[in-house]
Amino acid sequence: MKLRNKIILGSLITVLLIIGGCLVSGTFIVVETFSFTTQTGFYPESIDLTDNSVWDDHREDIDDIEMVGFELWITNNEPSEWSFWAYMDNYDVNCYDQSCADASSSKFLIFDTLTIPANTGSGSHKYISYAKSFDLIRNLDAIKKKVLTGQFNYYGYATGGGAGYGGKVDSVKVIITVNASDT
Amino acid sequence: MRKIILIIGCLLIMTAVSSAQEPTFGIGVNGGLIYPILQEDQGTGSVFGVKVIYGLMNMITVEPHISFIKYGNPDFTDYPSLFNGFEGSKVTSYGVDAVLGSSFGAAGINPYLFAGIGFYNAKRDITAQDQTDLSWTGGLGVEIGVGTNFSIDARGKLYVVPLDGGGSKKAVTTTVGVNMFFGGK
Repeated sequence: MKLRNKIILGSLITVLLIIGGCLVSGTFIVVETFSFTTQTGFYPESIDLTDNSVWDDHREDIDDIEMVGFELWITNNEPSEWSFWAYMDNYDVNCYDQSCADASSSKFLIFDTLTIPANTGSGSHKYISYAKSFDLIRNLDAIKKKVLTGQFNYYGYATGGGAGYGGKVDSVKVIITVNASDT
Repeated sequence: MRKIILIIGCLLIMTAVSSAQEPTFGIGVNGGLIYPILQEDQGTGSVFGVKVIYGLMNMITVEPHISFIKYGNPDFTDYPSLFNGFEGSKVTSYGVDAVLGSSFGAAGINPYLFAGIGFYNAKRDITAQDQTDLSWTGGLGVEIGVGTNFSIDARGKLYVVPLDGGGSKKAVTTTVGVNMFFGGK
C-alpha cells in the first residue's frame, strides 16, 4: 500500500470514529394529541409530556426546544361566526375551570384569534395545519420555556356563534421539535 | 470568529501563492443530494456548490467554498400528513476545507480526505428561522483525472453544526462535480 493510501485509510478510520461519537445527538419530533370535553366556550387541558413515549425517550437528554407548533380541527355548528384563541399556563391539574384560568396571572397568549365561519349546512369545519399554525402562534420563546418543563396547562377560549356556543374544538396536536444529545 | 476564519483563509492562500514556484489553482462546481442525519424536521434535499482550489504543498490543497442547500420537506412516517406545506430549510454553507491527497487532476483514480471549518446559515421562512452557526466539515472523495486540466470529482461530506444549547445538527452530502485547473503541476 502506498504511503498516501495508508495516510488516507488511517485518517478515514479516525474520522469514522469521531462521526460515530457525534451520532448520539439529533432533532426529534414529539407529537401530543388531546381532545376536549365540550364546555361552553372554554377548553382546558393539563398536559404532562412525561406520558409521551417519544418525550420520555429523550427527556433526560434534551438540550433545547427548537420549535413548537399546533394542528387543530374545529367545527362550528352555529349560524354565525365563531372565534377561538388559546393560552398556556403553569401545570396545575386543579385549575380546570374557567374562573381559575381567568384569574391566573401566569397564563400567556399562545394562539391568536382564529375565526371559524358560520355554519351554512352540515357544520363549518376549520382545519389549521402545522405549517399554517405559525401565522397564529404568539410568544414562542415563552412557549418553548414552558414546554421544556414537560408539563403545562392549555386554555382554549371561544366566543360568538350565538348563545349556544355550538362550536367544538375537536382536537389539538402540539408538535414539539426537540434537540437532544446523549453526553 | 468569522473574521478569524477569513484571515486564516487569506493567509493560507497567500502562503500557497508565495511558496510555490508556479502557483497552482483551480475551480470546481458540484451538485448532489443532502441527507439529514437524525433531523426529523428536515427531508432529503439538494445541494449545489462552487469552490476555488489552491495548492498549498504536495498532496495538500485548501478549498474555499460556498454551497447552497435546500432540504426537502420532512417525511415523518408516524404522522404522514403532519408536515404538509412545511418546507425544509434553505442553507448557505461557506468555509474552507483542507484536502489531503489532492491529485490536481493527475491521471487515474485518486482518493482523498478532507476536513474544514465554516459557517452554516439556515433559513426557513414559515418559522422565521434565520440562524448562523459555526460548522465543521469532513469526508472523503475520489478524483478522476480527465485530460491534463480537468477532473471529475465525487465526494461525501459530513456537516456537523454544534448548537449553543448542546448537541449538534448533522447531514451528509454526496456530490459529483467537475474541477478545472490552471497553472503548473
